Amino acid sequence: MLDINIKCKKYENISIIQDLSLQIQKNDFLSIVGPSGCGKTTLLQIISTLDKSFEGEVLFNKRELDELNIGFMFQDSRLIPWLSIYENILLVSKSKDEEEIIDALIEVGLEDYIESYPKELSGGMKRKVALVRAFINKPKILLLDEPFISLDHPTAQALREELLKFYKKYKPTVIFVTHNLKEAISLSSRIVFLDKKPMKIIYEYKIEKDLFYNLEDPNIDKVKEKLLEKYPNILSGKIDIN
Amino acid sequence: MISQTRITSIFAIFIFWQILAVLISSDTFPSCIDVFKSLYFHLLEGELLFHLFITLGRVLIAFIIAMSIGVFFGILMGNYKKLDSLLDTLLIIGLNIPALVTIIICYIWFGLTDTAALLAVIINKVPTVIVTVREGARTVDQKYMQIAQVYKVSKFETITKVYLPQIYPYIMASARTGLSLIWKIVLVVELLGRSDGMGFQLSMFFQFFDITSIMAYSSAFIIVILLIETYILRPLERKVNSWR
Repeated sequence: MLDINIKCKKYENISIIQDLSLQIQKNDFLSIVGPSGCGKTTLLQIISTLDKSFEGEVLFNKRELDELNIGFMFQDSRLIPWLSIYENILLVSKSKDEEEIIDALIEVGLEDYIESYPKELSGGMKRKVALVRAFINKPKILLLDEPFISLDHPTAQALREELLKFYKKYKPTVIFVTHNLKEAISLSSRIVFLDKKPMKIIYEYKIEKDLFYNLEDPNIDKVKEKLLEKYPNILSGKIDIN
Repeated sequence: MISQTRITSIFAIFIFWQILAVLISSDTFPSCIDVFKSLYFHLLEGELLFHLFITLGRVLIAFIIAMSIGVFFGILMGNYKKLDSLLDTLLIIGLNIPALVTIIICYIWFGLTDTAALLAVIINKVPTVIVTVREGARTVDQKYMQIAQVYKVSKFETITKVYLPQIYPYIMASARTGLSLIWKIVLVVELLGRSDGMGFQLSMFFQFFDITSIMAYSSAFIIVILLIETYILRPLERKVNSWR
């Protein structure tokens, strides 16, 4: 289980996160939805061990996360421009297994771009590489910070499917930050809604389903409508009941 | 390879030089052909190559040491603000001390030795390398460093594959300007206090007002520097920037 207990996280003397407690079951796919500036990215940086300047602790199965394999997809693909696609994956790979890397790239349809540099790839292709990179070490925790933002609808949908394929294969514990409620409903089994300054959980929603919905699935719209009908301002961090 | 434009520009310089020499027609302005005849003579004599290699050796040693120290401190000062403010005044002094003063002081303190000569050249070059590399270190993009951190990439790979490639253009820039600056200072150092090398020979020719030999020696050295630039530095720079 991923156990997040943050007493306080300040930035320039302003409290961004205060007394946040969040537990995520192993292999769970959790979405975080909240208004801009509520500290979602900061939270992911704390979990990923990029940010250690906070009071509290983040534990996975009661152990610190420093030695744990974590996958992270940022808002931008963040591929290193002077390394080829293959080298980008090789850099982060623990096994340094050439075959494994090439197989993973073939799996997402990038067999013709293994030796290419990131600038030669389209936005969607770059995200695919970032996806492969996130999964290459079979991570225990996968952090996704709006990874499909600024992509056109078909490309984003194709990537969501790739993500689900990898997720089902490796079963990491996922924290998925998004603005898109439909996306959150379609991918996750639990959604946490946040308010800002300081960040607090205002509502949790568990999605009862066996299979993941396609984004076009009418059930998603139903769930979304039901949620927004009850809490019309939930996306801007308000829980005033209609 | 040397490009066609480069060859054309070199030929244009030679033709301009030859015409100017014919027009001026003075002993103190030898023609291009006279200089090449003199160059051929000095090459056959063997003296030129001897002094050329002595000077090149000094340039190479000073270059390697100055670049290593400069890159090391440039990176440190670009990353650590406290160290930067501590050494910044020293750096400004280093940048502004005339090369001649450093050379004279080194010769007085350490005697007319090769060590003193090299030290003077290194002291002159190091500050300019530091300034350039420090700028590079300040522009390092933290978002790529975060990738290395999240995926727990080893320190060695983080430095060689993520950090250093971001400051290679700055290191290359200071290497290219460094080479030309160093060989100019080495000549002055040799002229003032060594008994061999191109600078020493130039001072001898100066005493005899042998301007043709002075130009022949200078041409030989310029040719060598151009070759280093064309066959070592430029290809290296192309390789480093191939991803662009």
